[in-house]
Amino acid sequence: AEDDPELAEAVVENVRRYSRVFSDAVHELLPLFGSAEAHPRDPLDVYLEHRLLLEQRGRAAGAPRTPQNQFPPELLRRFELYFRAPSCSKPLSPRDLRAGSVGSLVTVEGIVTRAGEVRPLLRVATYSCDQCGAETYQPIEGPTFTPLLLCPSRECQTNRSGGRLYLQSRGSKFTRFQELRIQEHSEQVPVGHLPRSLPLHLSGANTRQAQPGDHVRVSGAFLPLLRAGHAQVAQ
Amino acid sequence: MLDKSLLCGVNRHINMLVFVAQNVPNSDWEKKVTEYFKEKLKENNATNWVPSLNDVPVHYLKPNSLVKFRCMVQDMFDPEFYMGVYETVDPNTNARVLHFGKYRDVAECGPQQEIDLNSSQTVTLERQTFYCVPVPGESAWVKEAYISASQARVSPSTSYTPSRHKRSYEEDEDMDLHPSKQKEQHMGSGGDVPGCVEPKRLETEASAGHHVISPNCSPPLDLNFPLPGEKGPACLVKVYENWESFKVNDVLEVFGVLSVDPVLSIVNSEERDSSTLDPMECMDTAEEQRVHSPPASLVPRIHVILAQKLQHINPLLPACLKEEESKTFVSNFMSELSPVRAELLGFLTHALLGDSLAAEYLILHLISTVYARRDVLPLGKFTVNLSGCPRNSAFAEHLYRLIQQLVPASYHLRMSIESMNHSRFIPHKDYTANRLVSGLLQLASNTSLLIDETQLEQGQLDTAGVHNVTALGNLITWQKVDYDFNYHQMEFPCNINVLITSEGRSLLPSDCQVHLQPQIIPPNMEEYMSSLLTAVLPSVLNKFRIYLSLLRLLDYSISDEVTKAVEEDFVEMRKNNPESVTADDLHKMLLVARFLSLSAGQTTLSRERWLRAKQLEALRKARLQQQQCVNGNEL
Repeated sequence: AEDDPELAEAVVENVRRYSRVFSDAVHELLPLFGSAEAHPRDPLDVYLEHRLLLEQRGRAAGAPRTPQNQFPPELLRRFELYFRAPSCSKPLSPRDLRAGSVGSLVTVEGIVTRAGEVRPLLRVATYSCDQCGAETYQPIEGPTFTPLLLCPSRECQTNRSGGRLYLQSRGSKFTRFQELRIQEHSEQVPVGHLPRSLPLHLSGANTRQAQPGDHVRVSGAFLPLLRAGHAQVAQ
Repeated sequence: MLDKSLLCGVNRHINMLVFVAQNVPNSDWEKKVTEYFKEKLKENNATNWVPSLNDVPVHYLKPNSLVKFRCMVQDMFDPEFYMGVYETVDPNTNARVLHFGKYRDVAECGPQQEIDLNSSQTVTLERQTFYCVPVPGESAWVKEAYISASQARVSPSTSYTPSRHKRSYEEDEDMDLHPSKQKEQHMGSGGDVPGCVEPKRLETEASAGHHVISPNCSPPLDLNFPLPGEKGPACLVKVYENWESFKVNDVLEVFGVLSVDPVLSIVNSEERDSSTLDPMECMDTAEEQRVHSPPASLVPRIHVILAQKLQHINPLLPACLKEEESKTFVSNFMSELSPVRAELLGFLTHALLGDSLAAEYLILHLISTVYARRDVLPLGKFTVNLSGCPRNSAFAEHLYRLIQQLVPASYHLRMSIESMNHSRFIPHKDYTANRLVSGLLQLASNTSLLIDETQLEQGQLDTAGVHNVTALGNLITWQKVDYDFNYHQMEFPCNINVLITSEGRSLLPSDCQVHLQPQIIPPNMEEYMSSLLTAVLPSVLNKFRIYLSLLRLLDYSISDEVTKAVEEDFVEMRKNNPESVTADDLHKMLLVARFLSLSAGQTTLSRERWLRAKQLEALRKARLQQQQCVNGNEL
C-alpha cells in the first residue's frame, strides 16, 4: 500500500461521499478474496441467498431486470465501512466545530450526557407488488423517505395493471441506530459560559458502546440536519 | 427624537436599509444596520421612547417592533443555524426573489411563493440564543423609576389577535380553552398568563384566574426564574454578533426586534404529535422542545440589534459612568457627599435601634464589592454578621424592607429547616430538557442577600439541606457557586453582598461580625420601622440610593508611603501583642479602611482614615469580647 496524502486529504474533506465510493470498491473486490461459502446467519442472509438464486434462474430465462428491480448494492452488502481520522488530527471540543468543518471528518471529545435507545434504521426498503409479485428496492439515504406506491416492473408497466407496492419489513435491510448527545469537557469551557453539546448519530457496530457519563472521543462526518415539515419553516 | 414609525416597522426599515446597502457593491449591510440604530439610539433620550418588555405586557407590544429588555442571562443554548439569505420561487411565474432571514424566526414568503431549499444562493449563518430573565430581586423602586422615565406610548393593539384566538373566541364564549386548538400553558410559578389575549378585555393580570386548564394541556412550563415571586417576562434573546462576550449571570440591556409569531407555538405542538412517527426527526426529547421553543406568547423572542452589559441597574445613575456627561454628574454628587453620608448614618443608626457602630459597618457593607480576584481569593468581599438581633420581633424582616428601599436588587432568605431542605439553591443541569434549571443563588452582581437566622428552629438537615448550607458557605468564603452538571461541577464566580442576621454567632462563615447593642427597644417594632421610612423624604432616599450604588463603582488605590506606614503600624501592633493581631486582622483592617475612605468619597487612603479604621475595628472587637464574657462559650 502506498501513501497517498492527497487522497487522504480528499477523503477527510468529503468523507460521506468517499465512504460510498470506498464501499463500492470493497464490494467489487470482496468476491475475489472470498474463500468459503458463508452460512446464512439471519433472515436477511437467507433472503439474499434466495434472491441471488432467483436472479440466476431469472437471468437464465433471458429477461433482463428493470433498473428498479435490480438489487441495490447496499442490500447485498454485509459489511460496514468507517473511516478513522488520521492519527495526527487533534480532537476538538464541540465548541470548535464551525461551518468550515461541515462535510469533513472531525474528531470530537466530550462526555456522553444522553444516550437514546438502539433502534432499527431502514437502509433499503423492499416492496412487493400485489399484481406481478416482483420485488422492488428503494435505497434510503436520509432520515425520511417517501414510500413508493406503484410497481415499476416491466410486467406491470406494459400491462398497465397498476400494481400496488407494499413494504416488506422482513426483506428490508436495517441497521442499528442510536442517538447520543455529548457535552464538552468542563475544562474546555471558557469562564462564565455553559458547556456546548453536540448530538451524534451512531450506526451499526458503533452502537451500544457508550453510556451517559463516559468520556469519549468520536470521529465522524459533521453534517447539518435538515428538518422536514413545519420545523423547516421556523428557522 | 426617535422616529415613532421606526419603532413600529423595524423590519420594514431593515429591509429598506438592506435594499439600499445591497445596491452598493461589497457593502457590509449588516454593520450598516447596527450602526444606524446605534446612532439613532444615542440621540438625546431616544432610548426612553423604546418600549420595554420589563414594563409592558407582551400582548400590548406590536410584533416586529423595536423593544428593549433589561435582563440577566440565565441559560445559553446551542448555536442555531438560520438562513441568512434565502430564495423564494413563484411557481406560476418562476420569478425568484432573494430575502434576508436575519432578525426573523420564521422564513416568510408571499402567498404565491415557495421557499426554494436547494437554491445555490442560500446562505446559512449562525446565531446564539440566550434565555434571559428579569434581574432577580429587582426592587420596586427601580421598576417604578424606569416606568416613569419611559415615554413609550403603547396601547393594546386590537388589531393584533392571533388567529387561534379568533376561532376559539367565536366558538366558545365561556373562555374555556379549546383543547385541540389551544396549547396555551398556564404559568405555574409566574402567576399571570399574558398570552391569552381577549380582544375585548384589556385588563391584564385579573383575567388570569378565569382560564381553565384543558385536560389536553401539558404540565405548566416553568419559566425558570431564580427567585420565587418573579412576575416579569422571560425572553429568548437571539444574538447575532459578539455572543462570546456575554456570560451567564451578566446583566444586559438589549434592543431588538420583538418576535411573537403564533407559528412558533404551533411548531411546538406539532413536533410532539409527529414525534412518534419520526424518531429520527426529533433529536430532542419532548421536554427539550418545550423548553427551547416555548409558545411565543409566553416567552417572546428578541432578535438583538444592540446589546450592552450593564454595570448597574440603578435608574438614578447614568448607565455608563465612563462617558463625559456622566463624569459631571459624578463630580457634582461627590462634592456634596459628606452631608449625604451623615444623613445615611443617622438613618441607619435609627434603623439599628440606636447603634451607630453597627450603622457604620452597615454602610461599609453596603458599598462593598469584589474588586479583584487573586488566584482563588476574592478581594473586597465583606460579609457582615449582625449578631444580637432581638428575638421574636421580625427585626430582620423590617431591616430587609429598609435595605430593599436602598439597593437596586435584594433578596431575603429566611433560614429554616424547611427552606434549607426544600428550596433549590444551586442551579443544576437538566439533561432531558437540555437546560440549566435555576436556583436561589443564581443572582446578578451586587445583589444584597439578607440571610435571616433569627427564625431558625431546631431540627435535622437532610442531604439537600446540607448541600444548601455548604453552598451558602462557599458563596460567602469564595464568592462562587458550584453549578451541578451531574457528571461534574462548574464554578461560577459571583459578587453578592451577604448580610447575616442572627441572635448569637452565625453558623455560616462571615468576614466581619458586629454585635448589635441596641440603645432603644421600641415597644412596637413594626410601627417604629415604618415610621422611619415614612419620615425620610423621597429626595433624600434617592440620594442614599445614588450614594450606595455610585461608591461601589469607584476606583481606589493606596500610595506607596501610606502602604509603608501601614506596614510599620502592623509590625508595631504585633510587637505589643502578637496574638491579638494576625495577618487576617490586617486584611480586615485594610478592607475597613478601604470602604471607609470610599464612603467619604476618598479614592485613596489617608493616615487619618487608617487610624479611624483601626479604631472601629478595636471597638467592634471589644464588643465581641464583652459578649463572650456574658455568654460564656458561645463565641
